[in-house]
Amino acid sequence: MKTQNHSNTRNKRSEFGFLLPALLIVLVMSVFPLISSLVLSLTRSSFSAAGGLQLEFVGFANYANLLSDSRFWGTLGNTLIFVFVGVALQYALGLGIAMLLTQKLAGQTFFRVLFLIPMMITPVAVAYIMKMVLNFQIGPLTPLAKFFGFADLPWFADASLSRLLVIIGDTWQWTPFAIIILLAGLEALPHEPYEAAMVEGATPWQMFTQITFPLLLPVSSGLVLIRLVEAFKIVDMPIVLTGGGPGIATETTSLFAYFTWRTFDQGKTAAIAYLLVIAVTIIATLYNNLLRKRALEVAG
Amino acid sequence: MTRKYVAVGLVGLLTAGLVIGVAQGQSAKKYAGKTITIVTFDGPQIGEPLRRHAPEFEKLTGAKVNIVLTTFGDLFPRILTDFQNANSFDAAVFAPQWLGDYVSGGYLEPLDNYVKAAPELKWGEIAPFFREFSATYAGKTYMVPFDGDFQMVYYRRDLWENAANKSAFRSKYGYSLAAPKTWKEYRDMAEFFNGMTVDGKKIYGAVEAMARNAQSYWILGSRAAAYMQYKGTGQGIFFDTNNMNPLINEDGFVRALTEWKDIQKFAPPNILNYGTGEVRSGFTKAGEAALAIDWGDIGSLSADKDSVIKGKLGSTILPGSTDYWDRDAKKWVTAPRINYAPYAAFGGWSGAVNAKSKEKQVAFDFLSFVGQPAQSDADVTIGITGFNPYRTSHFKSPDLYVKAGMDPNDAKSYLKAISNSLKNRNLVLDYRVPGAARYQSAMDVGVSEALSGQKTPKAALDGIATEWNKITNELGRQKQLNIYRQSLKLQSLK
Repeated sequence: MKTQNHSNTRNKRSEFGFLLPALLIVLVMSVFPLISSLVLSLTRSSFSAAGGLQLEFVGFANYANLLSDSRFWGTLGNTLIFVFVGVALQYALGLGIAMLLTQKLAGQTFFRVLFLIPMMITPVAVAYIMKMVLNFQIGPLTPLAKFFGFADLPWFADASLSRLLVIIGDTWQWTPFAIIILLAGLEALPHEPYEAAMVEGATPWQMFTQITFPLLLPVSSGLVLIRLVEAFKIVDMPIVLTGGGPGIATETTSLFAYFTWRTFDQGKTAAIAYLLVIAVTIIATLYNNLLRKRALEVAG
Repeated sequence: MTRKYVAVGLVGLLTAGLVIGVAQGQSAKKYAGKTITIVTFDGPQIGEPLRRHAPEFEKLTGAKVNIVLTTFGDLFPRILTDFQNANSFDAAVFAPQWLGDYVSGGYLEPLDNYVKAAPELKWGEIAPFFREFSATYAGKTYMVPFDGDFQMVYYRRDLWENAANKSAFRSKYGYSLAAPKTWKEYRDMAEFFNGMTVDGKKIYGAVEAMARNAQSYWILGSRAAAYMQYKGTGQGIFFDTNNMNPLINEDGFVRALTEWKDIQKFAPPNILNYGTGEVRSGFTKAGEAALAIDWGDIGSLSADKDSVIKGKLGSTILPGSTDYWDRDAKKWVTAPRINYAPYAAFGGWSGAVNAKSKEKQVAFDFLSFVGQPAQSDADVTIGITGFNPYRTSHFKSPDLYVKAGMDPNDAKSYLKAISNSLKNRNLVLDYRVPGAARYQSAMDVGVSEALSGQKTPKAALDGIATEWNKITNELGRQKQLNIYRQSLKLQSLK
């Protein structure tokens, strides 16, 4: 008995020993910066010839200032538009294209690779590609834009049109991610329910709404959760396409944090980042508890 | 036997001489074995001349020079972070506008003694504005100028010299077609040429940097300068020198922003997405506009092989105004003559030495090397450098520019415009106070809101003023005021 206890203790020690490096890495790379930035968010920086950078503790002043700042709320509103409209579009398009790719079409493999290309390119490069494509004065779509009469629309002066440009760019980049995940989900669906439905004389639309969509819900809800969290961090597309303008019409909260960091207002930058983390956590938790769990229940 | 000893002795002496000679040759390079690191903008402008001159300096002195390049947006915080912590950069090339933050933190080495000991830099030949205002802070020299930054107006000389255009313009506007002397004339000319067919395609009236997160706040400064400053550089246009209250929402700025917004009617439809890159390529390569506002870069870019305006370029000092806004009396006053106020936007790329560098002298010598006439005379004629004329030697003759490929008449007009701007005692200094980047960021948003029509110019400028007051209060009003006054060479207020 004593020998067994001794052996258990040794096992636990060795388990801890194996875990320790990973634990240390997580602590150093993740927990320490989190705490450090939290402390920073409670300070205000200034410079003095004697001591260089001085950090003055200001409590929650940075948070209070931000919560009363219309620019902060404006950027949060923009972020929510990009998150919800962008992710909805990416999901809808991704599902449509994934379903097409499950059909036995000529050149299926070619199209599978082709659709993935935008996701393989560096985000900032995608943003520059979109900047060229969406330039309706000298870009490749100019003849088309002129023919349909949208070349001379105030794309960079109108808030809604500028946001649309960012959503188009973001959708182009991230729809392939939805395609991959949904394609894998579609290919893993069982055949039996479809065979039974065909015997019962179900229409393709009925098969989609009654079988495909519900069975795909676990995959779909996971995909949407990942994209929701990711989309909150959108920076590349608005900074390259519109610079956050006109005004702050396309400035996301992450971009606001970046612009603030560039002015070396470190306390405010950290506070913005923390407020964003809180917003993402609330939305992700709400989504997980209210929608995702329900979706999983429906899917059985 | 004796001969043998003599021969061996001679060979020994020769060998020893050779060894000593080689060693002396190596030690002649006074910085052999030393390494310095300089950080700047990845441009390609600014980075290009530094990278080109680094091996030349290395060959001359033996010092190895590493050039680190970063994006413009990241340059300010990156230098600050490094000077605060790692001190891996021995020197940095940046905007004099940021001196407020860097000097306040004690990060920069005063260069007065270094400059005195470097006659080859020919300090006295640097135009007084850059030497006395841009390069100095609180009475000390901190920077070596490489670039004469102020904005000018460029126009298509071929269109202005066309007899039919001249006649049509006079009959429409009632005065002669010449380089615009006032902002009203600039507007008339933009309107006149907008939509005209030139070389088989329709052109626009003007191109200016109106994009957010680009250079729009500098263009607004250029347009407001003649309305706001009329007593010389010491007056300043951004803050009240008595209390640091912002002047950004005074009538002079409101008028400038309103007029600027009006110019959109004569500009490409996507002008709100134009930064200086688009302005330069649109004007010089696409030939899409009759007028443009830019720093000195369009001049040298007009000589590029893909330029369509070579031999057609006219340059002139920023337009002035026949009246100005009296900020004390709060009324418009008619000027006795046209009031010009060229704006030294950004202040010109310049180099400064890290006060904690272990190789301060080497770092200064490299900066001095880049700034010496032997290098700068050529650099200011090359478009890719991003360096514009700032020394008397740069204005002596257009030959330098013609040799670099510029059309003689283009060069003549270009140098005259620069010379007129630099000689003007009413040159406007950019704000150089701690937190300059924060003031600028607030201005960027407000200007964009007005240009896009989201707010009226007055409402947008009021919004900027509110933000500026918040920043000033946070950083200390009295401290900011004294620094602002110092930058304008005024006495501190107790």
